[in-house]
Amino acid sequence: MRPWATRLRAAVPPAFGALSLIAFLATVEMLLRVGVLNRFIVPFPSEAILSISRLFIDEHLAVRCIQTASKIVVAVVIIAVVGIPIGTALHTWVIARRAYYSWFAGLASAPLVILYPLFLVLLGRGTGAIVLMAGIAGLTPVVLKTIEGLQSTPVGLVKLGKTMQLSNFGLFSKILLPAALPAIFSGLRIGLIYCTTNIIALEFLIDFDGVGQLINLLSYRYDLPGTYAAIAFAILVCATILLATDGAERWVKRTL
Amino acid sequence: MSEDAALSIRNLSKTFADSATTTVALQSVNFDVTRNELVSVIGPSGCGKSTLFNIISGLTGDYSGDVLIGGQPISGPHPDVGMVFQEDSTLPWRSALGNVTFALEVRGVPKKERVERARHFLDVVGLSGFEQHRPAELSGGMRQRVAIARALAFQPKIMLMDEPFAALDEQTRFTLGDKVLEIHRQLQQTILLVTHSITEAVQLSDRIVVMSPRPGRLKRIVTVDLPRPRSSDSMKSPAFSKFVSQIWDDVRDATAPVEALK
Repeated sequence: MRPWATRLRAAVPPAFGALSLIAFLATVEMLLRVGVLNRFIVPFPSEAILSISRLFIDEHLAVRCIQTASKIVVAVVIIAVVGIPIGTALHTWVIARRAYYSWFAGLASAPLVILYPLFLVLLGRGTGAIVLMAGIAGLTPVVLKTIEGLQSTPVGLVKLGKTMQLSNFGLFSKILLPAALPAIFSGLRIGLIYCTTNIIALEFLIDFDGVGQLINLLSYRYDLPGTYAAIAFAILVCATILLATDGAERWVKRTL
Repeated sequence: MSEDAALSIRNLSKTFADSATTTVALQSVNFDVTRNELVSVIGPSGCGKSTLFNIISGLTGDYSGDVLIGGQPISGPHPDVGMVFQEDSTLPWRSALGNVTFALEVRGVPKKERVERARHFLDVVGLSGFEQHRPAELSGGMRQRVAIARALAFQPKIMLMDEPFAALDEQTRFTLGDKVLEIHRQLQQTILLVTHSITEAVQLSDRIVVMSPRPGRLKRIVTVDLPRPRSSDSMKSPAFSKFVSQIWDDVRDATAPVEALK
């Protein structure tokens, strides 16, 4: 296939996505204008879009996005640095795995955000408490997926490593870890989603900087266009970080 | 032991035991593989072929008897033994070239040399032009050829192949069989092939070790004196069919008591 044709084919899905979003917003705008939807609950999309510049100038949206994104990045680094070694240790130590696996599985489904009063008492109302809460919520998927990835390494690859006389560390670093990477990255993505949800929810709940606080502030003022625009920006920040993990996975795979 | 033996199996026995059951997988197995020889091990399911392979490759220990490579008893995976497994063992995150260089990288071969050698052996297995392809972009037969190139790359004295074509379709099996014969002829490589295909064993081997079912014992060693080169076309000859039917009788006789019990 010619290069321009390949580029064109690759551009079709994102263009389709963008067009369907525009169509959705136009439909909402129309339903609001004819009175089918209540304009006191849902703002006009056109007003929300126009309020973006105001949010950047008056409410320092860029700074707030950076504050939220920084917390998310730190939390994801923490869950990777802590979760992957815990998963590896549990994979290696069978008794511990049998003892703790179901605990971690249970923890993954628990609404850990309700622990925030405890962390506020322990660490005070600040970034530390938010990041730690988010890290705890995002840790379990990384641990569980690391175990799953290591356990599902194909038998042929393990045999290959052993017959090549790789040391335990060599077998781990050259065979098991690269084979488990897709599962580990999938755990990191789920962990990222948990972290993001918790960080924005806590910024909102404890009224402490970032996009979450801005949403709280704007909704308190009953500034509906601004609230919806800020929510859209929060989604945009999360999507950007999620996409960055795809790039990180491709980079790690290339360097192996 | 023959002086020219690359591999010697002496009184090899292996028992698997747990708290409830004891299974004798191999009992007093003896045979030699001489240099540049291609020997196949054949037998019904459960006759201990894979156990034998795992012991020779150093993956299974705790057996009685001896496995000697170049006259020396083994005590784990041996650096002079290259292995091709039944399961797909290509590293999915590496290209075909990267898979072959992996074996050399582990052994500390300098980068320039390992790339040259990897390219050469990919060429030997007929995969020139596919160096940068990932395993996911290759067919099952091509992936097994990458595994063969990887095993050959560090120039092992013996190559062990455990049912390497088991997961492939018939047509690919024949094509790969021809490729193995070509490699054996070109490189004068000593090969021990574990297989359950009688046709494959007759096509490829100088000798065939026929095993009886559990406990796995050596039933007979058949010397295949069909003229070489033996391409997949030679399978049409009456002499070839005679060997196949002779070995089939051996395998069937060995399996009969088990079938009768059922």
